[in-house]
Amino acid sequence: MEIIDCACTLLKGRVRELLVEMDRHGIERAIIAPERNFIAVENKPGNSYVAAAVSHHPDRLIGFAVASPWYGRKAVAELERAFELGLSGLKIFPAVQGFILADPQIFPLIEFAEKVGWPVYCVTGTPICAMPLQLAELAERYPGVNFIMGHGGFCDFWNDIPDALSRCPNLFIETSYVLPSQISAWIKEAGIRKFVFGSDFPFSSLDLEIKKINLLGEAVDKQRIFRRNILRALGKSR
Amino acid sequence: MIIDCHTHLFGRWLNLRGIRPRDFVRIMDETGIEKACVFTLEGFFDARGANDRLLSLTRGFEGRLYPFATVDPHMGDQAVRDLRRAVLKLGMRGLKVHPWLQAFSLTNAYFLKVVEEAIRLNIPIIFHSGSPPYACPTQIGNLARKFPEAKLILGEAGLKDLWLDALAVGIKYPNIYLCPAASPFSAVKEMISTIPIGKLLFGTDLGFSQKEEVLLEIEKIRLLPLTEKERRMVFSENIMTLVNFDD
Repeated sequence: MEIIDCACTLLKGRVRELLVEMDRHGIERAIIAPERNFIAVENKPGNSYVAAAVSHHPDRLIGFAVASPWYGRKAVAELERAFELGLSGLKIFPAVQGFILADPQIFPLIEFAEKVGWPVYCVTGTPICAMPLQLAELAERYPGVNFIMGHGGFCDFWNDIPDALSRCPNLFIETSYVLPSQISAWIKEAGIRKFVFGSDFPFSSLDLEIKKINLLGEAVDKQRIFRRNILRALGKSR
Repeated sequence: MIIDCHTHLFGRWLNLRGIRPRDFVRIMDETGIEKACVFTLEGFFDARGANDRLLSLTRGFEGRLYPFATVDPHMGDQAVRDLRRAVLKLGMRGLKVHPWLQAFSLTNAYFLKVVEEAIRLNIPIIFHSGSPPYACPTQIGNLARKFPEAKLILGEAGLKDLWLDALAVGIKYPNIYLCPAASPFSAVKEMISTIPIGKLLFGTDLGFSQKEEVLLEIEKIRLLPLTEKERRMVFSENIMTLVNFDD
């Protein structure tokens, strides 16, 4: 089965290592974003090295852009530049970028994503800034944007996940860190169409994250989680 | 040998049902776990009585299941008496508290009395860790500083967001031990390279989790760059220095 991993971080200068790991695990394509300091402050060089990797391996890598909302208009300008460089989505990381999801300063970035048809991947699970129902509010504010709940709200927000997913047709959930027994329960409540595979490589283990999905019961259509759902979430931006 | 130092036996918590002892031991057999420290599932909300119920669930599985007590620190001195009874009369092997679910601060004077009693009884205390506002690794570190004789285990080792804190207090305080169930793989790799290997413990949270999670946690330890001796320490030898497994 060809797998699309929608949650990888490309460490600067480590493209080959990523591709080797992808080959070893049967990952056809990976969505990549820059590493943490480039998410927090050095957005421009971060987006540039991700875009360079994508341009060298367009059949394997899909790049997501980052911009700290604290840069205001300059953040949107950086996203425009990243779009021109061929990146395909926006990654936001409230705990690292220092904002809460309800803060209007993030709205212009989401509006840019809507304008160009980008999905928005948001790292979730951290109180007080990145909780699943906060992301659901943002997703309801922008029903034309597909949102991906990174790391599935892990760990303490499991009670909120089914409601968050059910409320928002445009909200997907990425599986890294989440326990397989929870994924099984949520699939029953919210439907399998919501679930997209992500490994959080290199911070989680690609081995274990793939094994986890394969441990889900036989009734679970893994093809949807590994591939089909993320293609839908990417929409035209893929 | 593998000893799982963090599990929950059958109980009811809201609409959640735990795993019944026979099925629980079957999962242990199927995954190669020889012994398990078992905690309550429901007792965090009804500590009095929970210890007796837990003990009765382990009957017939001596040598496999080793019950840990819980107490309700809100009850003050009664909690201290409950702990003494659980250990001295019921034969329980340690104390599990979940400060987030049980809604108490680790600085509260009532709880400090419980810690003092655990030291007198020479039992370890295992905490849920990684969840604000009551179950943060630095709060447990603060307790370790106050009570250097206490043996304190960070269940979950800070989880996804606070593992750096778990790492820091694990390095700083000799009496802090880490059980990195559900912690990121890269965090556990960092732990094995910076914290003495004798402070790392194996646990799965079975009961909240299921057989699949047990398989993944075992695989996680197997994937770590450890020597066979170190792996044995993590899987069983370290916890044997903290818990009395004598029958």
